[in-house]
Amino acid sequence: MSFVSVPFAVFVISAVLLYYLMPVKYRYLVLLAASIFFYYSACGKYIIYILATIVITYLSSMAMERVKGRSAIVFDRGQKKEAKKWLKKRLKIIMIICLFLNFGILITLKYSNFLFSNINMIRVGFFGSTDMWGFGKLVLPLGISFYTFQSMGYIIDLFYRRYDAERNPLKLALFVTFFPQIIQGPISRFKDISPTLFGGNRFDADNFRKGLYLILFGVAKKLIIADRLSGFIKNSSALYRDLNGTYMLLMVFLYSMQLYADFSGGINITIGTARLFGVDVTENFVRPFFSKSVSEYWSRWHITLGTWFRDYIFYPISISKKLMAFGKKVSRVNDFLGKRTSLYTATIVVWTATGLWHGPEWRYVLWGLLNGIIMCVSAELTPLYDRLNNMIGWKMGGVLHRSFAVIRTFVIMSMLRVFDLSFEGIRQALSIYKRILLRQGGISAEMLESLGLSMKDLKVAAAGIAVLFVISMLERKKSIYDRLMQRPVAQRWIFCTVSVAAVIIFGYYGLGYNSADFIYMQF
Amino acid sequence: MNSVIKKTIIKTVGVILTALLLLFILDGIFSPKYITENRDGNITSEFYHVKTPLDAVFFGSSTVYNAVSPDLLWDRYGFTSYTRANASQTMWQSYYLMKDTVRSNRPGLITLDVSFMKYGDDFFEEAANRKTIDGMRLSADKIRCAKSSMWEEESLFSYVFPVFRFHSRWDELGGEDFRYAFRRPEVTYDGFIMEFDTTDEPEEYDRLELKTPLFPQKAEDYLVKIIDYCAKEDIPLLLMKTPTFINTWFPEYDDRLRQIAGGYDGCDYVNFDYCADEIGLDRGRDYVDGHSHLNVEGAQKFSLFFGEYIKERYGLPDHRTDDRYSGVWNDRYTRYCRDMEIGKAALK
Repeated sequence: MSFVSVPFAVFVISAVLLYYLMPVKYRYLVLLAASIFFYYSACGKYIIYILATIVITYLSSMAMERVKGRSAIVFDRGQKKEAKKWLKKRLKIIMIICLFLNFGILITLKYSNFLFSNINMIRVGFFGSTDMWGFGKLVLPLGISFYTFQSMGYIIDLFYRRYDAERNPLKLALFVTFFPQIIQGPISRFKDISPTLFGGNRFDADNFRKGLYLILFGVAKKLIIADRLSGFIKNSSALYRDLNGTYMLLMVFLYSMQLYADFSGGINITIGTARLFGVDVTENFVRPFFSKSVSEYWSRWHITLGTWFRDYIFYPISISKKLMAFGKKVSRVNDFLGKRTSLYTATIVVWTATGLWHGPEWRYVLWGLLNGIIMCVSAELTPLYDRLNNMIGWKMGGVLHRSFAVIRTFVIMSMLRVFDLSFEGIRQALSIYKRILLRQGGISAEMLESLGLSMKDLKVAAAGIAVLFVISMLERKKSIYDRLMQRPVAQRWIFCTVSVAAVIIFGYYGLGYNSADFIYMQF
Repeated sequence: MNSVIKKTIIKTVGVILTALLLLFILDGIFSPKYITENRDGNITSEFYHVKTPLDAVFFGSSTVYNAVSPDLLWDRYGFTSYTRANASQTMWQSYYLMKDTVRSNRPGLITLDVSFMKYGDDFFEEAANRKTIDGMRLSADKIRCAKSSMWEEESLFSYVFPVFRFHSRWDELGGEDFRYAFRRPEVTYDGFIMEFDTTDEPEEYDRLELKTPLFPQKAEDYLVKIIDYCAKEDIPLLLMKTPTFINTWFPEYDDRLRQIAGGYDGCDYVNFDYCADEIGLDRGRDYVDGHSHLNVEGAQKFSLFFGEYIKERYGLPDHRTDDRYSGVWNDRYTRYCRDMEIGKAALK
């Protein structure tokens, strides 16, 4: 059931009606039933994996609560330090078991064949083995990376005792399976989402209206921009050997726009759908293409994944006693490296993991590593940039300086996305770079059309991107929704009607079009 | 009632009505008009303009809408009729169109051309489906008709609101699309389409192989449904094959159809291919499209023969002296004759 489909609309309308007809106390049960139905209709028997994650997470959380309770019984008030140590050790054991089991499912299904293919390569290369190890083709359940990370975030938070465990297994099941965010996130935190998710929200017209606006905005991004560009990008990437660098450059920049329109459009639909039920889901994008550096970009793009890695991997690594001790040792040899050991090690680990999160392929690992390296290098080069800036005479933070930084970041991020597009692997990515740098050439309307981008498509996509740009500019000060709400009712209705008409007319859907799935579904 | 609930209900109704109005307007503008070209796209919808009860309705495919002229039948025999046949109209489409017809205008006779008995589920022509189904008024039969005709890539929703199929025409829209968005002029002659061209030589079509079973199961199932439906409604049914000179029909088909029709009271089968000489059809003058359809000359001859055949056999009434009918149908016949003359003159 695609987010942009009539069955999904019917499903959501039915769920909303049921939700508000149900007594407040039991409304979360409607959401749970809807989520299970949605997941089952998408995955069938593979629902077993998400159920396993729910059971493991729930049992672990209850075990943690039990241990916490026992620590109060075993130790006296005067034994605080011992109690803390005892408790931490046991909580850690439970957390590790839970992480091992849940990540075990994820690693087995998503990464085992990648691991085996590399092991096999070594066995064949070094030992001449002829038998191949592996599990064969494994089906990846929908949203496994998202719900596993969300569940594990919850368990890690319990380990740090940031809040108490949810004792109602049905509520925990809802937290893991909540249908609007199961396909492509965002990766919510339990403490952020639980009040409105379980609260049994009363109907709030403003919230509901905002939800509908967000859904409309998301559908517009997906149908007018993302899906329209999808055919051209797929074809250009597949035929890269026959195309010159100009086509590759166009593909790379359009892919950036497509990915943004697709992913942020999907998130708009997610947040909007959740709002129909009064549930607040965390925002995942804040105008990323207005970022002035790569690190700023990653604080605005897929925010919830970034904060997950920051809170659960980056911080624990960067402040780990062992790594800090190692940094001190290095300082004795080289002060420059010593001071940076913790920070850069954590950065590289996080970005390698981020790369792997996107897919079990070396191109994603390299993509992640490059992101990390660019951030480290940028940090080191900041003084140099500032000096250059002074030499040129640009005012720091001025329009020229900011524009340059924004364009530079966009170009760097778009260029890194070449790895996303290189389905054949790193060699393809290198070939695309080579073409962009060395094999520039002409571009023809006929060729673009044969690649799936007619002039008509290009015009609509360009207009869509321009509108998106204007909206992003306007939203720097106030959201479009808030601006709209200040207008008279008649103007709001006209705006809405025209927007819906624009989506119907200029959307890329129907017979003869190949509407694409959300790109982030595959992760 | 709580004022908040009342307000919410009013707003919801407002939103739904606005959405429906928007879809109605967009449907009107974006749907193809079929005014100057592909006029057969209006056959289904123009049926609802008929102002008198009908004595006979003719179903089938394009061979029928090029062969049977209801206006000529009125003038010569005095019974009222409509040709509810469309290009590549399948048996299941005929079935649902028949139910749609009988719901509002119960005829004394139904005829069904069986040329499309050869085609089953593997047959799909989206343009033809659209011409046949889009013109139907929204009903359960329309939905069933669309469901039974659709490809899996298609959306049923787009048959309810055709703008979801034709939205990409935004760069082709012309004056005609806005002028005729909500009211189109009549362009068919009670379902009859005039073809003024002539093809001298028959075109050699790829001969279909004779298969076992002879007809696809789906086509045969729907034929039986049609027969059962007519029996239930107590409407005589004539299964027929309109005369064409193409090599895609086998005598075995006739045997099978005769066998099916013979099993039911009130159902007959006749293949008018075998009557071509009796009708007086001239291979050099009366056919078009590689002899797969009759032109206006052929249609005149066939309509007269066919009219006499059904009038005698089924005792169709003569309303020519009834003012309630003649006021409407004489005008229609006048328009038919005028346009026929214009068409012939243009050809010269």
